[in-house]
Formats: sequence, structure tokens, C-alpha cells
Amino acid sequence: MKWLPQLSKIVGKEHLLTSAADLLAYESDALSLFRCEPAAVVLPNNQQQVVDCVKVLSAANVCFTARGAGTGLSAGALVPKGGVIIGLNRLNKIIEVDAASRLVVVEPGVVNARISQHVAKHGLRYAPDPASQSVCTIGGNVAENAGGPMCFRHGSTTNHVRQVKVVLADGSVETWGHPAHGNDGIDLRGLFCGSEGSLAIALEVHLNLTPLPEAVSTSLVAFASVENACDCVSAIVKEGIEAAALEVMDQQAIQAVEDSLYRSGMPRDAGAILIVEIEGDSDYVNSQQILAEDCFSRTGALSIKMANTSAQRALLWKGRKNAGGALGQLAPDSYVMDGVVPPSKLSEIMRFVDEVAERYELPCANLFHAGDGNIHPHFAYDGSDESQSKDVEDAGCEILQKCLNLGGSITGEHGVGLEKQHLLAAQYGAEEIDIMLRISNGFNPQQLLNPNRGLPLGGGCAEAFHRHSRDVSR
Amino acid sequence: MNIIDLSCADQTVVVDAEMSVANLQQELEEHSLILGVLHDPTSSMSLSDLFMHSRHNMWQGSYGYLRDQVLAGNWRLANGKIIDTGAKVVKSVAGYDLTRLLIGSGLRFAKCNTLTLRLRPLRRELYYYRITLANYLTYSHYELQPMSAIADGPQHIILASHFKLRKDYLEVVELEVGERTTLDLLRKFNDAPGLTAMCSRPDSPPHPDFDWNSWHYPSSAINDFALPHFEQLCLTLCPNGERFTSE
Repeated sequence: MKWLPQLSKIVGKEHLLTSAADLLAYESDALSLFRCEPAAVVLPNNQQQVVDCVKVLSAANVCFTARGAGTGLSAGALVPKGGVIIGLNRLNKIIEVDAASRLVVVEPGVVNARISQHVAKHGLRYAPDPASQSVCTIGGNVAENAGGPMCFRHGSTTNHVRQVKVVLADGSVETWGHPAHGNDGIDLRGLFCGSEGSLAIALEVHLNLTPLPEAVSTSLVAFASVENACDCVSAIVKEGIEAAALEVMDQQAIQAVEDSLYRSGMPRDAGAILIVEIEGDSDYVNSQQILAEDCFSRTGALSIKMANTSAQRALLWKGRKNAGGALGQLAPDSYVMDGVVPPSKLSEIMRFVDEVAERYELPCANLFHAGDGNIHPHFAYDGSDESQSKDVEDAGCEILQKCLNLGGSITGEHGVGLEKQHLLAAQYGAEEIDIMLRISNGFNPQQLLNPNRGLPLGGGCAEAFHRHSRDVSR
Repeated sequence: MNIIDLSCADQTVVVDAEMSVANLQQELEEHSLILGVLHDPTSSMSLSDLFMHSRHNMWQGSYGYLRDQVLAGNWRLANGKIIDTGAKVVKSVAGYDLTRLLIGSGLRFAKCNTLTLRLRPLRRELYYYRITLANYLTYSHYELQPMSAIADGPQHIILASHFKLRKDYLEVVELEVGERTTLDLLRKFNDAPGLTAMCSRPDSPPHPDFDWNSWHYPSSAINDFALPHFEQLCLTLCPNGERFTSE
């Protein structure tokens, strides 16, 4: 392995990890169902070092995968046995803020939330807000096309990326998109967003900034059931209210939050809560809030709690955004699913989730982006129990198949990764899959860069739904 | 050439790509919905022409780029094969985003048969502005920093989507959904030397001087650019080198 000393020479030996203890943290992302220990982890410090590492690995025919904070939930940033993880966390510079053009240029290792903190003094923010935004990095956000509660109003990551500078699998550097408007006719920038690191590695990203709103109204509305909360969401959408966020949590999720460090005063006796956030100028927010409150009462709201100060609002969001962590207390392992249905089908899919959880006897909590129809059932299980692990995967497959049957998608923001690789053929036909594979092979001809990630490895739909594998080393 | 499936509850519509933008907007208005794209109501431009050839959305500041409006599509490749891209939901990250790749690509890769579009609630309180800035010769939004300096803070910037280069000045045609901050901006422009601004009332059509044609790039422009991987992508989508010719 003469490439190891070459990598060491590029980044310095202290930034090349090879011991089992060091590699342990890199053997999975936040979806611990899938694990594989890399041969090494290299931690470059600047763009040129990334390019040099890619050239060395490419020349040595060693596969490699870029990784940020490892908060992905689809096993997207794993590398097959013998491969190398290129950790981008040290590329964490905010290169430029152009407030006048609402533009920020960052390196891929910059943490999502840091951008909004950095540009707040200009009255701006970075809108996409995945729940892990306090730790997840922009490179990963772009690779997965990350979403979050505010994406209902503001769109996902791809809507906010104007330009990317990337290094391809052979070490060549290209720039896709445009710093002003993101458009360049053929949208390689858009193709790159959500490609799960299989086409190129981001070196520099130009992002849209969004003005901080003049006024914000945040309501926490309690309902007797998830179905009532979903009815309220439908009423709000039908009323034409452009809410910034519409988030639902069921009773299990509420209890987990209130039992945790992240407790935020959610009503424990509610069957479900709905968080509604409206933003804009004061007149607009006030007028929309009146309409929203009418929707609350028409759909059986049990109570309404308003966040009257920024501190109260922050507390409320703390509970919602850390709910995933709070649910981690329920069992040794947690499987967070990600499916999408048209919002009008939310009640139906939630009934189905309950039915599946009951049939498999799996504890399940739900928190979801209701405005987008993006569900996130959390299954609590014990990963050391093979039978329970298999049940979790089977239950997940059934739910995602149901999402497709209802006209939705197998993933709204977590990506395909290894987790749903076998399900993609259930969403697309052979021709579409073939085009995706050819695009992958066009950019990544030797499949060295995050090989085959996010794409099916073959097999039809029927076969696809009976695959259970935790071993990704081959 | 009409609406195939309108879901008001989900704010999505599946349409024949040859339907005119104006007809679609007119039909959507009856359901208090709108496609987040500003378009000349008297034009017969089809959705296919708009999304395959145009690059700019004058409502970009409020609703995003043209591509952001398209959720899914049914396409015919030049080799005759039919493909479906995207999903009929506002969020999907399953597989590569072939929809974004095809939108804006002219007729180089595929023709669209149907499009699934994201809709928004119709807002009645629209304000239209026409603002003329003297002595700015740059043609790039990115470079138009003096405008924001005048605007005195980012909340007051209107995302410019259209510029017209005159002999000795840059004319900026602006449009924004009515927010109070834009009214403040307008007052600032009115007070600034060398600037004129006109504002129509809410619920009225754009100012009579509004030039609908100038913001739309002619379709021939799409053939002029060269990109890395362009030929490779052509071959990926149509391996035998088939091409659509301009209609």
C-alpha cells in the first residue's frame, strides 16, 4: 500500500488515521444498521490537499468516499473494505460573505448552523435546517440534498446552492452553476446536489442567503390524535397559508422529548402536537395567524401555546429538533425512516405505520414534516438481536412501498445510500435506472468514488423487498 | 393540451407540456392557486418552451428558479424511449435528479410530454415596480451591489431578475410579492437622484411599460454555451447520438 505514505506526505501523519480505535468512528454514519471499517481515514486541510489525495487514490485504484460529520441517515458515507474515507471537516472556512448579493461561499466542512450565526449580523440566514444542523456540514447537506422543517417554505438544499467547485474521481477540478443565479442551462449543479458523493467531491459551495423575517409567529397546537393534526395541516394548506414550517409529533415522541434534557413544555397528554411557524412582515404574519387559528379550532385543537419571545421559540424548536436524540433513550438502537407521500395522504400513511409497528411489535414514534408529506417513523430496537433487526428492515420496506403506492417517494431528504439501494427499482423503471447508472459511470468510470452509492446494484422490485444485509464490505 | 391532474390539497398539477402558461395560470386562479412563474398573460408560450428554454424566473425572489417549480416529468428521448423523472411530491431525493438535468436543456436531450408542477397559494396583493437606475453598466445581478447599498440593508433588496442594457444605463425591471419592505425601498428610490420608480396598484396588471419579451432569452441562446461533460451527457441520454432539431 504505497499510497498510504503518499497520503501521509500530503496531509501529515497526524491526519492520516489507520488504527482500529481511530477508524471505529468512521465505520458507520448515524444509521448504525450498516457498518464497514475503512482501511484509512485521511483528513486534508485545504482544497489542494483534497485534490492531491484524490489523485493518489485514483492512481492506486483505491476506492474512496468523502464524509462530513457522519450524521447521514442512509449509510451514504461508507466505503467498501479496503477503501479510504476523505474527511472534510477541516475544510471549515467561510470564505466570503456578500450580503448585498445574498451570497455566502463556504468550504464543505462548514457546519450548517454556523452559517446562519455568521451572517445574522447582516440580517440574513441560511434557510435549510436539518435537525442535525448544529453538527452536520454543508458538504454532506449538498451530497444528500438535505431538508429540514423550514424547507416547506424555503425549499431543500438544492434550491439554495448557486455554484459548486468540485473535484472529480480522476482529480480534475470543475465548477458547476453560476454565482449569481445558479443557472447555466444544463444543470450539472442540480445533478450534483443529492448525488450522494458518487459524481464528485465538493471543494467550495456558493449558497443563497435568505433575509431574516421581520416577524415570526410560532404556535404549538395540541390535538387528540395524529389524524386530527394531519387534518389541521390540510386545512392550513387549503386556506392558502404559506407557513414556513408545519411539524407534527406523536405522543411517543412528545413523551421522549419531555423525559429528556430537551424538554420544552410540550403537553404530555396530547395525542399529537403540531408546530406551525409563519414568517414575513408583521401585517402578513398577523393576518395569516388569524386564519391559522381558525384552522386550529375547526380541526379540534385541544390547546394552543404561542411562543411569545425568541427564547420561547428557541425552546420549542429545541424540543422538536432534538427529538431524534431523545428517542435514542428508548432502546439501544434507533432506525429513522424517511418516506414521502402527498400531504393529502398523510392520515392514511400514518395509520399504516401504526398497523405495521403493531404487527411487528416494534415501538415506534413519529415526528414528521407534515407540510411536505415527509414522514420519519422512528423504530426503537436492539441491534444485537438479529431477528429484531430483520423485523425493522422488513417493516421499513413495507412502509416505503406503501409511500410509493400512495404516489410518493422512498426518500425525501435522507438519501438512498446503502439503506434504500434495493428499493430504487421500485420507484423508477429500468430505463431511468439505466440512465442513472450510465451517468454514474460517465463521471466515475472506475467506480472509485463512493462506488454505486445511491443506485441499485441490480435485481427487480420483488427481489428488492427481501434483502437484508448489514455487511457492506464486499 | 390541458390539465391532466390537479390536486389542490397537495398543491401539485400534472399538465400536458404543450399547454400554454397563460391558460394554466388562468385555470389555476379559479382554484386560488398559482404557478410561481411570472409570465405574459397574453403570450401563447407553452410550458415546454418555458421550462426547456428559459433561464430566468422573475418571481425568483419569492418562488425560486424555474427548475424549482418542476417536481417530475414524462419525457421522450431522441432515441424514442420514454422515461419518467422525479416524483409527484415536493421532496424526493431518490436517485439522481434527472428532472433538474433536463429542465433548461433545450431540446438537446429530450422533449417533455407532461410536467408535474409545484403550485402556491394565489396572493392577491401583488405589487409591480419598474425601477430605472442610471449609470450602471454592469449586466450582472451578482455585480449590482450599488443597488443594495441604496436599499440600505438586505431585507430591502429585491431580487432582480431582469436587466435591460441601455446605451448609457442599466434598466432594472423588478418585481416582488408585496412586502412592506419593498415599499420602503421604493420610497428610497424615489428620493435618490437619477432614479425613477413607478408602482402599480395591488391587483392590477403590470405597468403598461412592462416589457414582457425582453426578459425571456431566445431559445437559440441555449445552443451557444459549452459545458464540460455536455457531449458526454448527450451520449449518456442518447447513446447513438440522436438529436432533436429545433422546432
